Amino acid sequence: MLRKIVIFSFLLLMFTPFMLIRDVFPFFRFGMFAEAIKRNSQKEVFRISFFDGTNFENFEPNKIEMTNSVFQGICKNYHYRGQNKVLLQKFDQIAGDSTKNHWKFFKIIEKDTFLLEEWKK
Amino acid sequence: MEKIIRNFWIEILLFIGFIVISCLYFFNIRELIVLFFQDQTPEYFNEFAYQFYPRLLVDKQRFEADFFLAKADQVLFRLGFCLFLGLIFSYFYKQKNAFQKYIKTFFSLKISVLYAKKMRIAFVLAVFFMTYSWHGNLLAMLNYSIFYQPISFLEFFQVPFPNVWQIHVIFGIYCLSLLCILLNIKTLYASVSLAILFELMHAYMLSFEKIDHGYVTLSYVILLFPFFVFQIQNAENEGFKTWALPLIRLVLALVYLLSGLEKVFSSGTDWISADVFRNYLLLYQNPFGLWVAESDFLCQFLPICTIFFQLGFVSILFYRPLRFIFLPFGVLFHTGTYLLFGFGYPINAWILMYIFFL
Repeated sequence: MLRKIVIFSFLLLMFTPFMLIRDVFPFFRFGMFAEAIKRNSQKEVFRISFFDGTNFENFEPNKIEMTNSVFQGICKNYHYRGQNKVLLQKFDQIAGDSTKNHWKFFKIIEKDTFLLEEWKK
Repeated sequence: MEKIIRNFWIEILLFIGFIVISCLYFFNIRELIVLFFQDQTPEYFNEFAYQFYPRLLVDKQRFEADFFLAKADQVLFRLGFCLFLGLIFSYFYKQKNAFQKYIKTFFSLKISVLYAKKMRIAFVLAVFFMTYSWHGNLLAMLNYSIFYQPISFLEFFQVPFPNVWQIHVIFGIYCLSLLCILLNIKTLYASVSLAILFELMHAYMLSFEKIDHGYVTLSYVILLFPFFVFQIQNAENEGFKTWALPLIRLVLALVYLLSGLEKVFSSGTDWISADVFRNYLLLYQNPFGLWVAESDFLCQFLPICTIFFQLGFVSILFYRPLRFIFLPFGVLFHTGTYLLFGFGYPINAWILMYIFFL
């Protein structure tokens, strides 16, 4: 009986993310590379910079041991949720440096750079 | 008729349930989805939508309503597809003795205790190799824990991100569990604790708005591993019958099948067009990928190989010698993904889980 319950429930749970098109941790949907993307699909890259007293410097996520993919994911989600300012405030909080008091948030598509948000303390 | 109803009442109920859901969807929910994108839906619907699909908060700004309508249609279609598969399976299992016997034989694999113990040790070493860096990763995440967005059970139970000492304790017990399994001490308890702590740390690491599929197969096997350990522990003879190992193999094969089905359901035959594959290569801008993008032949050949591999991998469950083709193919597939798109690592958890097919 235990065998039947485990087999049935595990397989059902495995198929659930496929049916609902969403992850149901610890069961996952394998949607990466599944969409037939078009030629004009452009990769968005996000960048944050801060004023260090003399000029603007790019924020390097690896200085806080954050991988670039996590950094890009966080920036993308905050941007599309309309929380650009909150994002800059949080990075300012992480930096914890009162001299870094002017932050900018950019989106780069191909060779075009768009200023999304500017925030001064 | 009465006999059919008595034998298949669950299946009939599921089928009626699906018809009801379909009617609800086409007469009500589909319209609500359109209204949702015009910000005209009632609050309860918005709350449900954002609760059930948190990504909508982001994706609503990125895509048109048609994109989500197509996805919603897909959900219904996939429910129907899986129900159809389930009903077919159930019919054959209940009506055809040969099929039932085949399934029972499949889940009664006879192996030796020595082979099982070797596999247990190999798995523990693979888990350690793949996860020893998690301690450092979690400590690094403390630097930016302000971005912590708990997922799944962490969200449900409002579990905060652990502090330094909690990370030390969690990882310490995790390593102790691995060591106990390796040294054959209280293996059942150790494998249960391993599964819980693995999923806990895995959940923490995915709680920064980024889902990484690198550890999926490892995660599935770890959840089933205690059952395998339990069967080894209770083996009375040198040879014993196990259902846990065939289930682990089935699950690993289904992961590939689901990945392939996802491509077929999301893109149909478009996915195997050279243009789509080239567009992916150009999007990720990896040097080797850009080199491949210049070849029409490779851009046509590689996606066909991918689909063939992902949909065909499951065949090794039915004809074991095929593993000599599909396992090396799998190594090439994952190495190729790394070289072409820059995802994962050349030696990764997906490849290491092939030990269960040896």
